Amino acid sequence: MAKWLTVARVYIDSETQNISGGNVAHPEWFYEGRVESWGYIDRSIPTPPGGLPQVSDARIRVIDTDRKWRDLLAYQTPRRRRVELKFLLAGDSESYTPTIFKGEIVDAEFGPGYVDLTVQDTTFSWLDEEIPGFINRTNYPDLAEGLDEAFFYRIYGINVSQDENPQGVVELPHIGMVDGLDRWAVSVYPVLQVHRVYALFPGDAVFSLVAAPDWVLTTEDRVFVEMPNTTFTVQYVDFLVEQPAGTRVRIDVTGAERRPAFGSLPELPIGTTMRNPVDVLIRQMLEFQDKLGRDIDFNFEEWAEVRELFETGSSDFGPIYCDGVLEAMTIREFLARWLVSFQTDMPQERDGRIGLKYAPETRPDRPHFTDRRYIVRESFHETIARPTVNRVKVHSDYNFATKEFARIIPVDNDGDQLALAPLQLDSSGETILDSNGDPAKIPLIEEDSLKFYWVRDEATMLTMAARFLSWVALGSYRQKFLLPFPEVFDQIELGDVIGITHTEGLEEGGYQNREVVVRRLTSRLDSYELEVYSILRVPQEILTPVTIDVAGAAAAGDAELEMNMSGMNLDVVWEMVSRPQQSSGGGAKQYNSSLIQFDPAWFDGSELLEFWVEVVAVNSHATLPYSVYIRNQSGLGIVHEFVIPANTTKVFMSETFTPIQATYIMTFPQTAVGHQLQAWSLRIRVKQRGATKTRVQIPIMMGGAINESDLVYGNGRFVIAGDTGYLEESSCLIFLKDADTWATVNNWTLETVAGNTNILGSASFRFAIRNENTGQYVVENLHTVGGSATELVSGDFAHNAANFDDGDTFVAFTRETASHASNSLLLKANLYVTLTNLSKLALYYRMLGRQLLDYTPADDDQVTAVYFDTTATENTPGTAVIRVFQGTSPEYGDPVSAIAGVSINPSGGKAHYRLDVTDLLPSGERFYIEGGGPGTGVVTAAGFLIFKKSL
Amino acid sequence: MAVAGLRGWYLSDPDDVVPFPKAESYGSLPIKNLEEDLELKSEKGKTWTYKQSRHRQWELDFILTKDQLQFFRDLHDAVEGRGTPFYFVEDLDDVEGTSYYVKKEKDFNPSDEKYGAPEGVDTEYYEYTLFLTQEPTEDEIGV
Repeated sequence: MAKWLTVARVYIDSETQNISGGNVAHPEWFYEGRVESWGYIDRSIPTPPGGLPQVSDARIRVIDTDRKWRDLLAYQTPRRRRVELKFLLAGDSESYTPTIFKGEIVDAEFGPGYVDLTVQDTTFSWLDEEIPGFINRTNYPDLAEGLDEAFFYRIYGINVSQDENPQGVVELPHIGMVDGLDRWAVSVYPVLQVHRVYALFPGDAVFSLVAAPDWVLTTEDRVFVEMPNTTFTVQYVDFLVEQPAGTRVRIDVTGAERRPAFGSLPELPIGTTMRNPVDVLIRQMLEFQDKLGRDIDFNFEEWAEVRELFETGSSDFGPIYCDGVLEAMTIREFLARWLVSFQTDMPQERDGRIGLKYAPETRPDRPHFTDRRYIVRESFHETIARPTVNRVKVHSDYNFATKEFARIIPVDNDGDQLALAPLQLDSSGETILDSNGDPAKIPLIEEDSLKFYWVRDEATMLTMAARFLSWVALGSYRQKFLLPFPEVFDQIELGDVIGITHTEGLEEGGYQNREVVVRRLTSRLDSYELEVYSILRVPQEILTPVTIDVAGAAAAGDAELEMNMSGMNLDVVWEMVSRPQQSSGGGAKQYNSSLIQFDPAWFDGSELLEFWVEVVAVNSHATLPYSVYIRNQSGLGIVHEFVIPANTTKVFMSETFTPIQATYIMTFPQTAVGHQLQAWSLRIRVKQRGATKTRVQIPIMMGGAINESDLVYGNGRFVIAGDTGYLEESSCLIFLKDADTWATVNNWTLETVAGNTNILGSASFRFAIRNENTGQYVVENLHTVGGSATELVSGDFAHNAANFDDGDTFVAFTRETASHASNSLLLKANLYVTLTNLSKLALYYRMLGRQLLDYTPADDDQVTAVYFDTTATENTPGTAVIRVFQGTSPEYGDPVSAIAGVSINPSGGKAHYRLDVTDLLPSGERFYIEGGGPGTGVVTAAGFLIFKKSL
Repeated sequence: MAVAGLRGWYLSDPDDVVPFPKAESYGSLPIKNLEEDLELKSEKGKTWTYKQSRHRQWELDFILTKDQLQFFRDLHDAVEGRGTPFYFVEDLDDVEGTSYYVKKEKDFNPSDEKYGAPEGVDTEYYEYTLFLTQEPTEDEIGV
């Protein structure tokens, strides 16, 4: 069993100390097993967003019975010395393991036989520094009389007076006379344009416009003492003559500046108006970084994603407006204003990087944590929202010159106001009703105010106000629960959306992969627990109370009325094609290889029963759409039509359909040129929730290369001169019949599609299933058609049929009984198991090359085990592997990068292999398999992912 | 010099191994394995087990003459009770192959003097149990 280790490096001046809970050997140093306890690390972001992230101090207790640390620290200070913690598996590489905490020692306490080190996170130690104003007598010795210090602006957005009241919106600090010019400071960064300059002369009541010839915009490269390593390109408004003492100057201005490159984001060139607030934030953060003199560790990808969201407006708010930094403040104040304005979080992530997360959207690929698998027993707690707010007074359009907000608008959550209002009762205690017969309610207001310093447009303001209200709504429930730290610590991050399933969730039946947003993470390194604090991403809908007619309510204990919640939840997938098919330029085509018998009556679902079809198709015609049809073989009536748009490289389509009882077949129209329409996969997906009956398909054909015509390129085609007896069918997978897996089985079915190019006469093509362990026959289908025809033959057999023994493997054998040479065609072979009174089963998902499987095992509490079965053939012995990979995208199975997997090693010959991957499959939702390795003629990359399920 | 069939100990150099004066009594518990695990259990019963440390433990009963008892008192003094770990040799025929880094019990607490013939001849004797606990083995990580 791999062992998890927590190790720390403590950078004491005289010698770096390496410590751990037990002795750990590193090739270059040694971690002494001195740590008695690691305490915990607590990281959080505020709810609602807007405050700044919090990271607790870590407290490490180091055993010191031998006085080593006392002697070490007696004559040198441990304060401000760096400490780094890592969490890794024994045997893993330390340098490739991210740091989970880094900080500086701020305190050391020596107790009996130990020393407690208090380590403070330093990521945000710079928050309380002032943004330097630069205008002072050090930088400007000849500063105007009456002024010793002023703030040099950073102007970004459009700051222009309304035409009705042209008074200027940015009032400039006065520098004084410089080289015969009377100078006012504009911005530390060059602006795009100063539109107008206004002056208020002593004795005047209002600002008046100053004509352009009377002033000039001067640009100067400056280095200020506060940041001696940074050259700013600053700008001034210079009056050509000295102005009367006491003159005040304002401007209308559009700010602009190049924003340096940031991670993968290219720099914004000079001349760009920065209207995206993330660009402004980046510009300021880079300035802070310059001031610190060291790099801030950003999660560049996240910042770029949020920037992109704001760049495109995220579809729910329009153009982004922003101002600048126009008054003295600390970095903390600047960030708080910005983060509140855009309801954005800036968490410190587990590897110490600073992230950026906008109010979260739904996340289909979220990691999912269930009470069956992860959530620690008796750790789940949930609270209703408190305090709550159902009206927020939003302040926006801040005027830096007047220090006032130009717009104040109340935004209401009407539903919550009504839901919160108590029922009104008359003197007899009866509910007072309104004219509609509903309870009469007077909305109950809980109000708060929000100041959006950076917002200047109503759409953005309303969007952000709605975001805020969703965090403080009545249904904005908060959860707290424990997870096993080693299993999940690299899957959860502050501000992320995750899914939780817990029977005690505040929703009917509990939570089922309910989306929550992580707000706080406490890593308990001694007990291997991760404490998660979260909040519903979308608040629970709180209903306005209604009057219940008690006399009409269903009687308690009326069991017949209860919904059957005891059924199984299934996604049953039926493959229609075993190999890709393509169209002909010589006429419409039917593909017998796609024949399946289907009856919707085989399936049910008390909560949900939906029939879907999925196709992955190509249409290379430049202008014409072509359709992939599923038809009733009898009469060729259309069951479903996929219209594949012209010029489609490859598309995945998933659509619902209304099934009929029929034998289905896929057909293609004639295309202008052969092969223009291709179907790479075609399948039926039956979604059953609360199912009591179903029919599972086990497609045992391996597939093959793309095919134009069933008749020309039948799989398993062979030429035999005379009857050579049964031969093992190379194109079929070996099937393992698991014991204690199926209940209750109606019957099994072998369905095959086959025929012959020659006239068979009285002969036949035979497809048999045999017990591989005993060699004994189980079931056989006989195909008698010839003359290039094929047919679907279906044969039932019992769960306890002779030789169909639990735990054995089964293999396909075929035989051609013609006395003359003939070409047999085997197009399809499927096993089916039909179940009623359903209580347990196994779902088979065929994995064919890079054909992705959509499934999230962690979603499914009924899964008891997951297996990877494959049939491998290695022509030349060697070391070969077939791996299961977790895919990411795209949906239709093009190559994606592998991120997890397991391997097996075929050892020659065709054989069945099984791996238990129950605890290996990650909680992602797509998988594929791939074969390869240094052996030659390696493997058939096909198999099954098998999900065993039970109630 | 190692003596076959007996156990022994040394501080750091296998060449300095000292054999115990006699074998432990029949019925001693020669080896126990102590597993220190962290275990978390999900709401519905799945368990996650994390290995913390593994220890071997020996509980060796001796019936000793006064001189033999002095050997163990000397051992106790040399390692200061639990103060200093040392190497316990399970099989003096294979000193390096059967050595374990151990600590003994904290106190030295033999029985009061008894009189009898535990080995066929009447004599004073003492009963003493030596508790040895293996120090955790070292884990390794890569660069």
